Amino acid sequence: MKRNKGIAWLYNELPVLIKQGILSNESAEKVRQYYGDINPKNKAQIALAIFGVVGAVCVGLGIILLFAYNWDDLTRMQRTSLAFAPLLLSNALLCWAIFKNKQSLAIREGFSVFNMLAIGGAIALISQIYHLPGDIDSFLLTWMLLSIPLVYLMSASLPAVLYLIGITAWSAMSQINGGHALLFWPLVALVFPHYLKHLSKDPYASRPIWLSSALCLCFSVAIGISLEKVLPGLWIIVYSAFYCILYLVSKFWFDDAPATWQRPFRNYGILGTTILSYIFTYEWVWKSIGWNYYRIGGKFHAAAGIADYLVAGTLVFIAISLIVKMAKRKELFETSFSIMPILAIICYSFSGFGENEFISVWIYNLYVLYLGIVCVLSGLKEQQLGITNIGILIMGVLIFTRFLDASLGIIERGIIFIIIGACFIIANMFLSKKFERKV
Amino acid sequence: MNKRLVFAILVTAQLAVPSWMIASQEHVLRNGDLYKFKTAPVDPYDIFRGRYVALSTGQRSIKLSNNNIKFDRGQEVFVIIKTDSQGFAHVVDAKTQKPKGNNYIKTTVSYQSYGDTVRFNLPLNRYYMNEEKAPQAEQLYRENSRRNKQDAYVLVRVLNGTALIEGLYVNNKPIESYF
Repeated sequence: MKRNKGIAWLYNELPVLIKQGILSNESAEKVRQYYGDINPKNKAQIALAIFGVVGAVCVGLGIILLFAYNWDDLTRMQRTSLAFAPLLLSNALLCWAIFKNKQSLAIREGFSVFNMLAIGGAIALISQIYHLPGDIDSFLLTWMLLSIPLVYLMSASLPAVLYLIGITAWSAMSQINGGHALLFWPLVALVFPHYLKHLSKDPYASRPIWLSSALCLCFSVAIGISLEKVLPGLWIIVYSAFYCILYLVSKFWFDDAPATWQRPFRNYGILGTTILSYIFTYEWVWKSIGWNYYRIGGKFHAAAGIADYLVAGTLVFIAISLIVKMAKRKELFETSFSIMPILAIICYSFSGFGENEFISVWIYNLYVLYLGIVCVLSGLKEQQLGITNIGILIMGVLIFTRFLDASLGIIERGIIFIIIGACFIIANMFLSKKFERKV
Repeated sequence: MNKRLVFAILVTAQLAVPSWMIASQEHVLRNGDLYKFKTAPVDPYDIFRGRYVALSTGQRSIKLSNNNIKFDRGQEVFVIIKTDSQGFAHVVDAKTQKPKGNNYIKTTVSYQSYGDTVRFNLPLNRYYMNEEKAPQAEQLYRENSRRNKQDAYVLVRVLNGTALIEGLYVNNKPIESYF
């Protein structure tokens, strides 16, 4: 879309350039031939797909609600037959699309989502008719497994996003109900061939961006859920390594994205690292962690705990390899954000083995302050007002909450607020002047 | 793989799963033994499956006849049921192995407490009803229950460990007959 905008601007400029004698008519024509037509078809297709999918979702949900009403005047057999109606309808639509080779984006995405809702609706309705107990985890798992082939059959991404949400919800319910959620990992792998296909085609198209965002969000939730937590505090290292990997993967392999929203890994990486580091400035994170508090029995499965060490080990190994690669480039901003897992490991050792949470709390307070300063400096250097403001926000939140914690007097707190405010104003004035001078 | 073949497999699976669910429940309803479980209805809601009356069958734990059995949380358990002199079913024991006969229900362990007491959830916790009638059903039960006298029970079919609710009764009449 961004490319289209640029070309449209260029085409508007061409007559002016010809008039000014900067370009000849032939050169202008060559430019037009090189860039080709602006592609409005793509936009129309996307709009159609959005309406198609919204329509399918509304119809599907409407059918589920109508059936959920529980028509007790109908006999059991009649209601059972009704449960199949939307499923058969959606299968017929899919059949028509496949055999008539109807492959528009709207049809592929819309029909797949409708089928996905229909299969969920059918299973739910049968549970209702027979008063089956509400084991939502097995319901979700069956539903998702019967839906995942749609992603490949129709080459549709929305069912993939819904599937990711579904398996994440399943892993949560499974863990709550006393089971474990290790199956999440093979389940999530089922989406990867589809995801990688689109990612390798054009990583900055909206389809892989949506899938990447869904994956980042689902992983953020599922990592915490699927950890068996036999070793208290292991999540500190696992999450730190995870967000660091997201950030550095984006840095090394997807750095030429035209716009910020096209860098989901970078955005989630920075956001995750910053929020985690801030959480780590609290004492409770570092209390009662490590081998001395090893948990076993009851709801903790020792065998599933082995998977925790595997996940932690793998993530730390990948993160450290990437950090070493990053450090060689000597870029202050990137290196500052990516060293977070190393700090997490050091602090975990202090608190886990030494039972000393104060060192960890101090290290992270200083680290968050440092991140704030680095953001401000990089923003000023690159003349990016947004990054400078984020840096001030990071420092602001840290100082604000710390000084609320420290129960300082009103005068001290007043001075702190004035200093934070002054920082905002001075940095913005400085940058605005720089921008003005440039214009 | 051929797209049409994949589609055929998908449709078959999508139709087979609900069909199998129906067939297995119908089998239990037609061939299962009949038991009465005392119950207390309340009125929640399920986003996918609509309005239901939540049932609490009262008994949630049993003292084991064999003290040496150890259960883990979430472990499969076979609870043995027996009908008392008034015609109501109760859980009398819990086993790790599938028992002989047909007087057992397969469920999962919530947890084991005091060594010989096992807590479990009977899979008889939902009775789906029409949106308008479910709240009335709860009201009806409240009006009909006096202290020490709870007049609601579920008729349950039990076959090969599977228990399926056939009907909810208040004052010996099906709940539907009140509306």
